Amino acid sequence: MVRKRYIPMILMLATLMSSCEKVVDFDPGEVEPYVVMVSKPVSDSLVAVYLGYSRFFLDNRNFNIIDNASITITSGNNTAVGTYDPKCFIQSEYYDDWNGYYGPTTYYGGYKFTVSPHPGDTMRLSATVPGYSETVTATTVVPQQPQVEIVDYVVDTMNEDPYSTSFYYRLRFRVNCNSNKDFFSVKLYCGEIRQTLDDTVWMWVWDTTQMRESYFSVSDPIVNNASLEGALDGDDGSYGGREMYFSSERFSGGAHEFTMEFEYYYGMQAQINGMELPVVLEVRSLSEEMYRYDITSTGYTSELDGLFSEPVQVYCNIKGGIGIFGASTNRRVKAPTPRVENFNNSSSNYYKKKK
Amino acid sequence: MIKLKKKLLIVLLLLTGCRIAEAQNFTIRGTIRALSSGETLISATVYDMLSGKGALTNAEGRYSLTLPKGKVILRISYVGYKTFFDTIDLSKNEELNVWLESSTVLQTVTIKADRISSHRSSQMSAIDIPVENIKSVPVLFGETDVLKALQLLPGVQSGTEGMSGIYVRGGGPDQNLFLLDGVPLYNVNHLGGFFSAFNADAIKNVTLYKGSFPAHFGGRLSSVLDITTNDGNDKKLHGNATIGVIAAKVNLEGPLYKDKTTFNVSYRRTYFDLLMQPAIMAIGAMEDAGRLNAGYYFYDLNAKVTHRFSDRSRLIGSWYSGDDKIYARMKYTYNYEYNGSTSEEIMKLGYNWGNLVGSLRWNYELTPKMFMNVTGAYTRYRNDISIRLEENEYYYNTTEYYNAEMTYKSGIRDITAKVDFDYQPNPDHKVKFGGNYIHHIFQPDVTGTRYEENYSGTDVIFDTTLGESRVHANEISTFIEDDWTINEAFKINGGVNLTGFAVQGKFYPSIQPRLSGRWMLSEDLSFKAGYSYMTQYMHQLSNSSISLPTDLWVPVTKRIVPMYAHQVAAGAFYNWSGIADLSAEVYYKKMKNMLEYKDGASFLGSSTGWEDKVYMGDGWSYGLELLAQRTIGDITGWIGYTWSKTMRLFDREGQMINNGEPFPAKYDRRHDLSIMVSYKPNKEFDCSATWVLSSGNVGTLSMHEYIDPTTGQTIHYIENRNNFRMPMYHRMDVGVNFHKEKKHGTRTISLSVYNVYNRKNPFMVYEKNNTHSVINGVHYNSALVQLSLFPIMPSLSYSYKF
Repeated sequence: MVRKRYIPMILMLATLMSSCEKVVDFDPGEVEPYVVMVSKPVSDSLVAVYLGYSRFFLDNRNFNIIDNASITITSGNNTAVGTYDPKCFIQSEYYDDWNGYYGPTTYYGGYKFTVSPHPGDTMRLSATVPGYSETVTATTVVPQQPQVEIVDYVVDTMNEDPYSTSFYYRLRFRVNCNSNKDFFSVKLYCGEIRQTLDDTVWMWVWDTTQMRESYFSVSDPIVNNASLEGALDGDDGSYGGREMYFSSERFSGGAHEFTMEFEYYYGMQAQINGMELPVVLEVRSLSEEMYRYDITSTGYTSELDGLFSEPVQVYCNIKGGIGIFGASTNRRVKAPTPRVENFNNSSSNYYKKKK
Repeated sequence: MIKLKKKLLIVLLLLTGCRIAEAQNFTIRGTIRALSSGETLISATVYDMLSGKGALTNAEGRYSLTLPKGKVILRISYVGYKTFFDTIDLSKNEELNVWLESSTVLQTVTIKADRISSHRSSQMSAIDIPVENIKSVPVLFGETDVLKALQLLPGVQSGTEGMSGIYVRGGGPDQNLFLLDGVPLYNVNHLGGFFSAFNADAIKNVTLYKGSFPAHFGGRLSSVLDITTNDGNDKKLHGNATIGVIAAKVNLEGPLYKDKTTFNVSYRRTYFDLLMQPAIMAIGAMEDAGRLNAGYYFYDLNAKVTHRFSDRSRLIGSWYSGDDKIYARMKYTYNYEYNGSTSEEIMKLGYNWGNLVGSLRWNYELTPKMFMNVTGAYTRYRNDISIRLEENEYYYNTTEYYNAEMTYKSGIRDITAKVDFDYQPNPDHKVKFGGNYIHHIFQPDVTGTRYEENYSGTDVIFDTTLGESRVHANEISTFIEDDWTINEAFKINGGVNLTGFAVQGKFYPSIQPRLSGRWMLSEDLSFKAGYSYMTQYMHQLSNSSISLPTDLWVPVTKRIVPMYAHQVAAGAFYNWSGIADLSAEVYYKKMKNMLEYKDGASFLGSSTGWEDKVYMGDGWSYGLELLAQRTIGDITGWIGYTWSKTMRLFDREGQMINNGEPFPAKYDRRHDLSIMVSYKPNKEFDCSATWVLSSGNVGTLSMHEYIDPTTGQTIHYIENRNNFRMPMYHRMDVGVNFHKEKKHGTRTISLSVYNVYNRKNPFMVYEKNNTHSVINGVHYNSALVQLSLFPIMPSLSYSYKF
């Protein structure tokens, strides 16, 4: 009986102590959607532009695409009007390393143009959206082609057994800049020798034709300073990832040499004997807008990892809306690589070549 | 020629006259102490009622007052003590030591925030808080906390719920200089900031300067918190023991050698680890064959020994050490019956962080008008982590083992030497001058790895250390200031602090002028204004409002130049006799070369390459601070209100934040109201209550999101940094104390309740999916939710004082 008297008190205390989380009733002010314009023209390629609406961050519905806008682009002396194509942008199926399955292919509507910009062109984009009072505009300049050369490389076999072979690969390359306001990104592609699912025979086969973005690292304070992703990723003046960004601001223009290191995993030896190891370096010269957008948008995904990180404001250069209009000029350089010989011998193999 | 001789004669006569006039002045000097404890009293007033001249006691309780020959009626007063009157026929230099008796009337005043020397002082933007008042503020878990008491005053803001950090007039938490007996303390928090490192039992006096800094202070932009610890009772042994919900503390003080040497020792320790032992043992028991021992605690040890060689000479040794400790030890033992071997696996974790401060100070009265302080001090803040894994296998008579150990160390050490002088040539001038030298040793972070292995008689040892080496820096400073009473109405305090900081082959000099003045408009009303220029040579790397032990102190470098701030303040002060003291202050502070982290940057875990993760920019803050306080009677307390705006601008080329546009600082808070009331009807009972109301903290929220069709990535678009303000913060705390005289002392039972009406104040906010919310009439399947930390928290403590 005495105990019963305490039950309401205990219940009340338990309720008070437990409910620490509650929905915030707040006034976000104006949350009317913005017109979103995204376009990333590549020199000497046709231009495509995405137009859509932003959504309030608590809204989980699909993004609305604008398919009835009047949109024009000027590149150099050429002006063209865009036509809407519901499959303008394709997110191809992708292989999910972690889960081991292929993701779906997704299509996004957009506007196609018959304009191919050239390095040095100033591009202007203008869109009028029915029901949206403001004209959405943006400008960018197509950058010059990057000047890249391979300096030398070193390959060292790290591991050999009947089932796998890894190479430790060190590549030095030089980037020459025209000014101290040049912006770049670097990717590395290696020939992928991996198992893929052959739909026709429903079995795993070796596919040696596909080039795949590879993970690499660069120890250089330049990248750490210029790249947001580098700043987040490396605490010791190094970069590690699949796309490295840097700016010539950090070395006051001129030329700069980088040393890139990566591990090349080839899988079973039987399949690689006699092959040439394909390694391709892709250097993209970016407009300043493209560079700032890329490093902030990649930074945002990294920021999610750190509860204590400062929030990232994704760069925007769209007047009257939000999004990005930035250009790039790409160049791919094939890295010199040795031909793989007989690896059935378990002794270590060492290659060293200088260009 | 004759004219020249006349002029010389006149000059000589004037000079002689001056000497004669000066010869007619005599100096009264001495020490003011509390009668009950013998403690020296800081900032006690010594005032000649006939000439209207007065002086304040210095940090050693000494005063010096030079007056004309003749009759003098001295009035010596101090808050909480009976005023002492004495009439002297001054015909020679006098030594007058006074022991003030506690006032029964003012004993009832349990809460009082007293501006230094009230409205008559030239100093403004400073608050002197008797420690008795701090003790009566009801707080979380009943743990008396100096910093949380300060947060109730205008111009001082708290960080996040329950945290001890203070933000003064728009400055960051690393812009506060914490001086413990004149020596800087780098980490003033325990348990991530929930408790401060200052044990109120060891403290005699707390003075906070928010602006108009006197020239003898320097090194930080926003505030100076000057804490003096107790010397110890010189009459007999006294003590105080308290046991509370999470901590116990004991304080002992008394004479070591009567009237010559005193001591004061205070120790506080939490017992989370002891309380958690049953749970830890239960977890350990869940693991097969495992034994777990783990816990967390912090402690503070304050010790002080004061030896008086004479009334003119004292030597003071002061010590503080305070550490937070996390420890864990897990042991597994396996017995293999098939071969009779035994295997043992041991994992040890140790995580310690904390301060150590030791100082030796010699006070010496060189002449009746000049007082000297010589100090040598050592300060250390460290943050050490060690993880050790051991595996031993015992088989017949052989032992095989492997040991792996990882250590992480960071910290800062200072070796300080300083000398300062108080010189009072006449009652109208109080001159301070001196200088100091500090050798800083910064150790941002060093990681060590050691591996030992012995299998089949083969030893393998791997030992390496990585990380930044120590950074040595030298800081010198010298200052001079004069507190000059021009006439009855006007008084100014002017001075200059000259500093220099040498690091990495670079030398940063700084000339920092300070000026403040008072204009007495009437007997009870004064107007004050002040200007100060401050320079700061070090930064604390942290980007959360929680004080983490990984927050590191780093010096300015070749690239990161010193921060500096200009601050102007003005205010009116009214002494409404018998009812209340009223004040209104406005300030404007401009800060340059401040650091903010780049978008996405985090210092969690490492400081290496920290210069690449920050941008330099500017900031400014302005505001209005109102304070009304009642200090007399059974009911006392204060109401403080602050309106302020604090902004940041990072628009330098290549260092832009928020697209180079101004944005509110993280601790920008428009309104801040604190009410403090205390009621003490008799000696057996007293109670107090506080209520705080303030604008919510700011944070960054991406209100819009869109798809990038080229990558498939959803972009969370943030228009401005710190664009979202959390819901308003308010909370009421109450405390009740029951005192009872016992045979050998006084017993006090204290009950306090934190957050009486269980307000769920936001600690942090985040988006939560699958939670219904309605915003502006629109229904969503996601919500912005807040996490609150402390609901209603009652606590009880028992203390016995003898």
